[in-house]
Amino acid sequence: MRNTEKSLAIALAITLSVFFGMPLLTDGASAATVPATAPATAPATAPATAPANAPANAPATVPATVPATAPATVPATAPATADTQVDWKTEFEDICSKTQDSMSFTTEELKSLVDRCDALKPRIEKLDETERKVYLRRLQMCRDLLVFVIESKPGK
Amino acid sequence: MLILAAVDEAHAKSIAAPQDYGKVIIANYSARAGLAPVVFNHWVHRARYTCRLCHVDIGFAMAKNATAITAAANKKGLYCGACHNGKRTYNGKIIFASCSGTTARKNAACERCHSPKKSTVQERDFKSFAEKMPRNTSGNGIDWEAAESSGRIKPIDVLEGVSIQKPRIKAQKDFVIESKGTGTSAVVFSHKKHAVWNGCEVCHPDIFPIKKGATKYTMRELEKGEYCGVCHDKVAFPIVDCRRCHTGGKI
Repeated sequence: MRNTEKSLAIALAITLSVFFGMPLLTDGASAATVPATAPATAPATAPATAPANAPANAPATVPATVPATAPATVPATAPATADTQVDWKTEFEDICSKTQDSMSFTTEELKSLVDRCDALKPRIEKLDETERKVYLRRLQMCRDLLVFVIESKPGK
Repeated sequence: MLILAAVDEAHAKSIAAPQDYGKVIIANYSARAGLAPVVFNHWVHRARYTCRLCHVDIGFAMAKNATAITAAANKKGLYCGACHNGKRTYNGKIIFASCSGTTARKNAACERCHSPKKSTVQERDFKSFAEKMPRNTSGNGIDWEAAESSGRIKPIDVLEGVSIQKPRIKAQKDFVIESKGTGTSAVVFSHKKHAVWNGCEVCHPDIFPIKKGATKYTMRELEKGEYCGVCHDKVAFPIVDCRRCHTGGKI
């Protein structure tokens, strides 16, 4: 009988662990790493936000990782990291890839692209001589076209 | 009268041997380096790549010697070195490296571009290439537009690592340019035909900084190398081929 109860307890623990992310509390160390709120919030939030076609084990992994790291790190570091990671070439390519579609943009969208060209220019001016020459010309052609399209809009 | 005078001058200018039509002599720094000027053949390159790729993505200026290409830039993979780097391939063949300085026969390598004398190889290559192309009576005798539309040439428009991935261009509508007071037929300008080779930035706003109909331009200006004359009469078919633009028949 005691063995049966023990087996049921183990089965319950495994079930909770698999479906709701609750750890198997086998020792003090693992119990200490788990936030007190994790079990309470996990079942309520994770299934609601997971996509409908998420794999069956998705809810089990979400609570274990998200609460521990996301609130503390994302807001503080994300914007700065994003700024530094968007290098000049990525920005250049993003702006100038739009020239072929430029006739379909609104004047405001075009002006925003021109502003981005102007903001990018000082960054390209810091490159070495040959690269600077090539990319300043390319940026200028791109900017000039955008301005041309703004000025060609009906009513201008 | 003005038109005829302009056309006569243009005609005199455009009587080049077919293989030499569109040839550009580049001589910014060659003499200082003890080399002959670079002889650049447009036909070799336009058979393989679009105008846009070289004049927008790689950054070659439209005017002769305005780019001021250096060997150092080529070695860094810019300008000629964007393709001529000894790694990039065309049709399965490696494109020779420009200004590499690593070849045992250095002079021979340099002379592929810095050509001190008329190249008989180029002449032979041109004849062999032209034989397979749709013919035309002017320029270098090749109807490039028909060559492209019939699939005999498939100019590459994107160079990996250099070009920006862009959506396919939505060509603007064709339009009519009236030939006011000249008695000639109007020009029907095809945006579609031009956009295939040039994209938008080659022409706007550097060559055509104008709103449709806002500026009048003359054959004299074209002959001087402005507007259409930036390409036509130099690389694209010459302006003496009147009926290609003035399609109505009245010249």
